[in-house]
Amino acid sequence: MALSTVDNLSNNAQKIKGMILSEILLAGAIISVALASSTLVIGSLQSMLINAENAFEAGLKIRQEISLAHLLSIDDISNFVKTEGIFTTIFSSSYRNDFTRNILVDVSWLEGPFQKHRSYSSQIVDWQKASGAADCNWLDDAKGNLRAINFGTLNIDDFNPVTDVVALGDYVYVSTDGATSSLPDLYVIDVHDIKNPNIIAHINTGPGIASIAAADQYVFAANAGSYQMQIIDVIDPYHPTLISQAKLPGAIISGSSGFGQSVHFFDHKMYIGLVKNAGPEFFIVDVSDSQHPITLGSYEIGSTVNDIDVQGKRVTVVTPGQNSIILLDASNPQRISEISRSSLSGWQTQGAQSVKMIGDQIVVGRTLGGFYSPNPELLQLNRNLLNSTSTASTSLKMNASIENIFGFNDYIYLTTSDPDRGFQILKDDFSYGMILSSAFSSRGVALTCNNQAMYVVTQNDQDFFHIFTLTK
Amino acid sequence: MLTEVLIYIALFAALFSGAFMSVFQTLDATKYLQDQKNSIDNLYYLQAKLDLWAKSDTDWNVLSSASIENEVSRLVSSSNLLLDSLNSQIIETGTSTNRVMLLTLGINKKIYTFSYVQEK
Repeated sequence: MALSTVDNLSNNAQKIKGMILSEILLAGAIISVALASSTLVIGSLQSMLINAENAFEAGLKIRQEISLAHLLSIDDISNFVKTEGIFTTIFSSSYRNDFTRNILVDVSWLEGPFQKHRSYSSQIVDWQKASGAADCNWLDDAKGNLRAINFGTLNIDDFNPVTDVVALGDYVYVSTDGATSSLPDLYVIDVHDIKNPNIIAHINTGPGIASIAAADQYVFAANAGSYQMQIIDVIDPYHPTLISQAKLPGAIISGSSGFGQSVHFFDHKMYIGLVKNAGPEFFIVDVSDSQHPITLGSYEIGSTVNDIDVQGKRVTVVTPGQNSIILLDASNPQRISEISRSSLSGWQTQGAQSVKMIGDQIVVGRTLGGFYSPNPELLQLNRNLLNSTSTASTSLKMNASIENIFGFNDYIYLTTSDPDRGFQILKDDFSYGMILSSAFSSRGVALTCNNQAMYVVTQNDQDFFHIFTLTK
Repeated sequence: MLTEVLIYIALFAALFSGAFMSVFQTLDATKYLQDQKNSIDNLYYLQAKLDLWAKSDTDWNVLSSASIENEVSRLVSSSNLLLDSLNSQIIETGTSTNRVMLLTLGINKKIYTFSYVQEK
């Protein structure tokens, strides 16, 4: 009995010892779990705070890069990548219109194994360049999707081919170069109500107008006559008035040589191109005082200047000659200098006809050069790589002459000599080819837009005016 | 028996000291995290105050660098932050219609650059 009691006590002691040990182990496990949990929570909180701090710094870096970009001319804003400490900044810009650039800044950094980033997009607007530039922000909603609306047919005088179009507020101005100099050469169309456009006035400035630009209350014309430059006051659109015209000094008029051919307005100046002559073919004229324009400088191109585009100090002219594209530096208009020139393959049969600078890219349109020409009519070249042997970075065979080019955001709008596809829309990198085309009764000539629609003019004096707006 | 008791005491001591240490460390870490969070909150608070000040109608060109730095110092201290260093810079170029102000602030041993744009 006594032995049995001793055995029981010994067993109980063993059991109690075992229980205490297991409780201690359990308590240890609970404490370990609690410790691990609190460490995990604290670690997570710590990484969240590190992330918040890095995100704050990244935000400051983004703001700094966007602020510093505001110090540049929008034409000089370029893309870059830079690394500071743990942060890598990618700054990219793209063309929106002649006075706006889209900006995207992305700052990334590594947090442990994770790549984090903050990005911000913005726009930089140079309002000084907005004067004379088309206001087409509604095209953001249109993308490549526009609808042609023709609410009635608009006709002008017979045998008066259309040459160009510009919009100024709720009025559209259409220039013509008729067979006889007695015909009007500028028509004013009221487009307050785009469903009911009306020709409200016209004016005859002389032999005919080859090209027009507009800003403020004026239409600036390159006249196809010996007075190559003209300024028409349209403050009262019902009564357009020729207020000044001039023969450009140094240009040698002979036949049609030396006549006005192309014009561009930028920063209170007219940039005028002439038909090839024995003198200079490119002129810059200060029109700050519209009644007393002053010729600032000229440059001998050696060929007819078919089209001109200006981005800040850089001017691109295109010609039908061997030097298809000439890039000029006009930072000092008194001493215009050449930056580079390029001779496009097939220039012998395909002259450069139209040009638009879109950021760093120069988009050039050429003539058809015959149906069997293998060369593309629409080309894109990098202005920074332009030289005598440069080739297009991308191109398209359009089987039509490219008469006029307009760029907005990431789309290009064209008029072409093919009536079946007189108006076309493409992506700015030419990917996907033609997105939309529209047929007319005659070749597309030029296009422009205002804050409600895009206006396309075709060559024939009958049914020459076409309106494109949002598809609804 | 005595050995077992000593082992238990040692185990309990280790457990409790571990538990207390972890509690204190957790409290310490929580306090540190709270300070850090406050500091980040204060940085955002400072940014909002600087934004408001920089976007007021005042032409930066009429402000002396001393007055800019006084105002920025005041805003930093009112945001409960300690300012180690301060540098202000207003940049203009001939090619732009804008001017840019860069405020480089040393706070909590880090350098932060706040930037603002104003039309000339």
